[in-house]
Amino acid sequence: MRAILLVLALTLSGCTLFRVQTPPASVQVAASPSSVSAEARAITAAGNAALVAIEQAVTAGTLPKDQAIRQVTAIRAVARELQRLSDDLDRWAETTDPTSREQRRAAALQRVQSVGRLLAGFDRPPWWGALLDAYVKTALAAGGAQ
Amino acid sequence: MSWLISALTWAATNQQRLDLIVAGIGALLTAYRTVRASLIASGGLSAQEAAVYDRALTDTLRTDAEALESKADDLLDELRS
Repeated sequence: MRAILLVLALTLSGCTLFRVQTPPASVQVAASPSSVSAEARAITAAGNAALVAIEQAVTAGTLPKDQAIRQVTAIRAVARELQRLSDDLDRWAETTDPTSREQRRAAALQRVQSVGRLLAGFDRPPWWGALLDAYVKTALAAGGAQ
Repeated sequence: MSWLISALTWAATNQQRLDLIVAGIGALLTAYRTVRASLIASGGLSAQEAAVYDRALTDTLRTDAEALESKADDLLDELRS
């Protein structure tokens, strides 16, 4: 079983795209740093796709440069928050005391919500839905088993 | 991490391809969660050991986020030039 877990962890770590479907209720487990980080990786995937879309829109002349700069700057801020989230998740993973783990989980959730506040600042460009979807799943994962 | 960006771009250009990847990774994550929960429940995996596996996934999030920031910086430079 340990070998299976290790193989799964390494496989998941090596995946280039991490957009996770909600598993059936029968297999859902309590919130964990790994489940939050897995969902959060979908935000980075959506962010990468958004950057590609922005670049293409500018090239096609359908998006003014000043708007593109604002959008890319906001996505950069999201990336920074996700790096801070990974630190929060590390602290959560390193804690074994139940009370402290709950505090760390709450801190991670607050960090995820800061990403949500950044997303709220967008004027809903075409790629915005994918980012929002990934954000909601990450927030749900940080909130515990649904 | 250019391979990561290339792979994402490649996947994003075809919806069926993207759906297939999404479904595959979703199944892998479900399997990971199930095995992890089973091991902890049976006493076969301590909380400390589980943390090691959690860290493996957290590290990849950090790497991905750094790559995203780097790509955003590159695009900002391009847009401002």
